[in-house]
Amino acid sequence: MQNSPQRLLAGAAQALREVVGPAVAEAYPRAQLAAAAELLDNLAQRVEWRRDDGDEIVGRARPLLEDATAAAGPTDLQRARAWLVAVPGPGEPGPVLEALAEAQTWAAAHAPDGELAGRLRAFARWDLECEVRRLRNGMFKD
Amino acid sequence: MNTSVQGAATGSDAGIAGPLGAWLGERLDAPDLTVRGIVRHTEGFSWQTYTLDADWRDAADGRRHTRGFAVRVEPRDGLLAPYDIEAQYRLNQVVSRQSSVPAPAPLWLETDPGVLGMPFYVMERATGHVPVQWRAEDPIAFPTPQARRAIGLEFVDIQAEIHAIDWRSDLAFLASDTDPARSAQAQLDYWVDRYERGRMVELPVVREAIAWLRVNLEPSDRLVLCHGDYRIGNFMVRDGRVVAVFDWELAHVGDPVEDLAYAGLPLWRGRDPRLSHLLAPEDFFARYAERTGFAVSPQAFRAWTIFGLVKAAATYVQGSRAFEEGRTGDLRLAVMGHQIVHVLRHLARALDGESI
Repeated sequence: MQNSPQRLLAGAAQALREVVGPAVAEAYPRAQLAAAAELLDNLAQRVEWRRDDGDEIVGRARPLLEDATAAAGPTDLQRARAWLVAVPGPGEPGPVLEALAEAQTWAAAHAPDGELAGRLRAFARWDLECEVRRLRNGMFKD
Repeated sequence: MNTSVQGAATGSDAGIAGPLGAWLGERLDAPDLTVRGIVRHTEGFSWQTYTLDADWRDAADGRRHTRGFAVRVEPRDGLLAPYDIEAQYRLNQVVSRQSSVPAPAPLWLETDPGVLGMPFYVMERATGHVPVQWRAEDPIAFPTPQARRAIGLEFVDIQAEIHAIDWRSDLAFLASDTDPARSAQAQLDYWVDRYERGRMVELPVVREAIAWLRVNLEPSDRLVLCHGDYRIGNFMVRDGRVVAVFDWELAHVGDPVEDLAYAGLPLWRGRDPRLSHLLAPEDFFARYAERTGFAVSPQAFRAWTIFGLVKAAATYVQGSRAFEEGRTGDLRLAVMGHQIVHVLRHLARALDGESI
């Protein structure tokens, strides 16, 4: 998930008010619609993405970055090295995924069939499966 | 005439009837021209497409006329921005004049945003039915297995015709390079750049795919005009025939296998093995080889399938970002932020060598 919850909720409220609302003629559905929009607007002021998800990403990515920087030359993986120094404990998932991308590119170029590349692929599959478990929609329900 | 249509994702005429009627009246020398039945089509996420009927009285003989038109309005910041409407119009002209590909003929181009708020062009309106990826069983388009197969074979034939268009004479501006290997890398660079500019967080599976493609993207020995978005959802059928191919904004000169693999992406067929719900892969490739003499390598097809999924992922993150930054209020772009998981899952399977 890339968007902020504030923008998603406020955007959904806006669409209900400005796009759906004018097309609803009956009074009771219109009242429900207005209430739904108000709920979304108020939720937007009060929610944030779950922190435990981000913590787990950071916890799983750290040993990968430590091993990647140990395997790479001292001038390689500067972003990963900087992240390891700057974030000794729990952190935000965004920066660690950026650092991990650098390690993925390096591993693919230097040892695509190596053990580290395999662990990076496994991390990517795990991260994806977490998203799949959270997904609720109807596109090709497979 | 400063009527803006941006952001009006309501399916209504969004206030364009008056200014568009006056504009069409000037083109047809019919000051009394009126438009009616304006429908905004919501199938696409990019250009705003309207269809309408125009009625007018001929100035010379006084006879009444009715004619259908389709209007394509450039979005301010759509899914595939930035746009080049003049190149798009020129491409449509070349395709409709120099090939038998059933593409709606472009009639007029208006680059002045003062008419409808953004530049637009007008085409002949095609009539028929557009089968979509969400409905594998479509009794209008595919009433029988034989009808589906016939549409599928024609779909391949048209793709072969598109690939046979001589791009070197009038469409060279669509080529990033004339060397197939460099052209393939240029396409990859283009979509990686779109991914980089659109993403708000890094997606590890996409990063893995990009690194894989840098090594494994296998160019053919030929370059052709690729439609770029050739699939179910972008063509119209009537009476068992394909009567129109739409949405040429991703057209470019590229690898034929890129275009073939794109038509077969799982995004357009779910678990159905038939490419675009039309033909089994072996039938698709056999027909294409019969028409072009070109045999598709399975390795190249797999690599270009992974490329197509990266292209889809890049498009999804661009849509999400446009919504996040308030450049669009279209919630269909907002949901791409989580729908991208489907793309990523297919991508992971393809990278792992699984059947997708």
